Amino acid sequence: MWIQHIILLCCVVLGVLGSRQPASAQGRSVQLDFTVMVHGKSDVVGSGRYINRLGQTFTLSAVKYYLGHLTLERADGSGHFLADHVLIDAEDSTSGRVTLRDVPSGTYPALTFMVGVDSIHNTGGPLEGALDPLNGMYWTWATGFIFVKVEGSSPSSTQPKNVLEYHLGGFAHPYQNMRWVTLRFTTPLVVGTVAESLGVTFDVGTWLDACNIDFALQPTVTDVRSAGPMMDHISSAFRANR
Amino acid sequence: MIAALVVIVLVARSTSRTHNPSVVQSTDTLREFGRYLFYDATLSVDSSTSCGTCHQQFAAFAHIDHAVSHGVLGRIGTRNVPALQNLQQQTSFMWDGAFEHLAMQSINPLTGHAEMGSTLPDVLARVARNPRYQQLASQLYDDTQITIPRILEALAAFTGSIVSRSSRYDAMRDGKLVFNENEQRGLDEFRTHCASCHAEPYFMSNDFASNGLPPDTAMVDVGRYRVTQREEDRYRFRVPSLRNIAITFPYMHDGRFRRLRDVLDHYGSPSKHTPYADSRVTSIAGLSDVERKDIIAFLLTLTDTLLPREPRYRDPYLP
Ligand code: HEC
Ligand code: HEC
Repeated sequence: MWIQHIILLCCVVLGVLGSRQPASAQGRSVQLDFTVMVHGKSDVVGSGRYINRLGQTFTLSAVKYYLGHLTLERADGSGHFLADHVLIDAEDSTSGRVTLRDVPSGTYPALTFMVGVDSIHNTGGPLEGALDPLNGMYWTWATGFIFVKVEGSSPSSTQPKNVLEYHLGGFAHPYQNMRWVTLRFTTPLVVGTVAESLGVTFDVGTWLDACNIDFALQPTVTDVRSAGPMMDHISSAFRANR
Repeated sequence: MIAALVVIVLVARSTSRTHNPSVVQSTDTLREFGRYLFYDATLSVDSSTSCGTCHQQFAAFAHIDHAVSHGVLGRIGTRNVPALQNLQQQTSFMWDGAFEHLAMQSINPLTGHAEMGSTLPDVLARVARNPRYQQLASQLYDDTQITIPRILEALAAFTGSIVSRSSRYDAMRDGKLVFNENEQRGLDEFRTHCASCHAEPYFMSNDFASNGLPPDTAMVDVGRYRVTQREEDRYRFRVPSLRNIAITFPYMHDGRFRRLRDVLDHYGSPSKHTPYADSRVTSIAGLSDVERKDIIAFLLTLTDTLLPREPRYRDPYLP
């Protein structure tokens, strides 16, 4: 718990220091594009049929997840930080377009972010924007946000109407299920005179396979205790395209 | 370390300030907005049920004589409706403390299948097209917009304003009256056996405990465990306030006891020695008939004389 706070503190402080650097004339916007895929294919919500590594077919009707503390990192660990949480919704292509403004020029070899919502925002009052409860990502029976929501169906599911439902959250000890992801680029991002962009994919297929989810045994996961092991695998599903 | 946490909080606060919906022109108007919402049945799926249907002012905002709640379309809930009072003192809400923020709690009854059965987009649409709310919003917010966070904040401003501080017990504490003999003995007994959990002057605490009730066989409500999934929280419930206890029957999370007499019989009897029972309850050796009567006499002094009739809490749609 303390460790998490310390990590969070470091990120917040670094982020603030980073973003406080004078918004110099060369400060550029960096465009991030988050897309959701299944086994390399986009447009995942709707008619697409997919097969997991156990050979079970499935379709998806919703994929949404929160990102927090998005930070473009320099080699020395300092970085440029986006304050707000971001909600990525596979059905809304604009939701994945995130702009980091006034990024100081320099070389950035990595992007770091948290998948989920930090504990402060889980226990606070209602907020507008990405964290608005209207987005359907706040639990209705307990405090806190659903960090990752994947819904669909599979003939292998034993649930009524063969549904699949993964609502993963949990911010309180001992089930703190937000996870940090760092993506190192093969070619560092150089922010200078030209506008830069970066694509990041989240592959639901890769993730479910990494979790070894059997749709017959675990068609739904909605409790904070079972969410942890699935969140442990989430970083394996993110890729940066550079 | 503390300083570090303070920094986190300050930084987090400042980064989200632009999104905070609660920058309002007048807290009185916000409370009024909340009061109209609280008693507005059109927020429910079939326009039958408002917050005020279950939380009745004359019962200190509990639902009198209902063991578990009754919502839209005749649907029956699983828990007893608690009183709403002095909510500012609570750090969590619901019998299992499921919510840690009063404003967020309202999402549960608004969208609950067995409560109001609505959806947040529907609630927003209905509120946003109602001229009364448009008018209130234009007084409250520079941009005159109605949003879900603003609706939630308004409801919490109203429920958070409900205060109980006008009972015979309060008058006694203020030196305005003296308890009779039974009441005074009851208070002493209460301080010995009960106040470690039901702490003065609110007669509640923000802890979770098992007071030794055997799990109910119908619902098998696991209490706090549902929220935390921690084994030690199984069958623990929030220690509820005993203010206005005489007018909020029946008692306990599942409404299993109809009379205060039944409650005292529980605390006084050996059947409370269940495997989960808190030691502060099992250490009550027994309560004599006189002690039970005295404690009840004292509990009756916790009934508020103003709250059930306070005009500021009243249903504004009534003539
Ligand atoms: C169908 C009946 C019903 C309706 C309608 C209803 N409630 Fe409740 N309320 C309950 C019950 C039952 C509980 C306890 C639930 C639990 O512990 O799980 C409760 C708990 C609460 C609590 C927590 C109190 C505490 O001490 O922890 C608050 C606050 C509250 N309700 C406010 C509201 C508001 C605001 C509305 C309208 C938006 C509302 N309620 C509508 C039945 C209802
Ligand atoms: C270990 C802490 C503890 C002690 C000691 C304790 N209680 Fe409780 N009390 C609770 C809890 C927890 C509940 C809620 C239990 C539930 O609903 O399952 C409760 C519920 C009640 C209720 C019902 C409240 C309502 O709104 O339904 C009454 C009345 C009550 N207690 C009276 C007393 C009296 C009188 C004593 C002393 C003889 C006492 N309690 C001692 C923890 C305690």
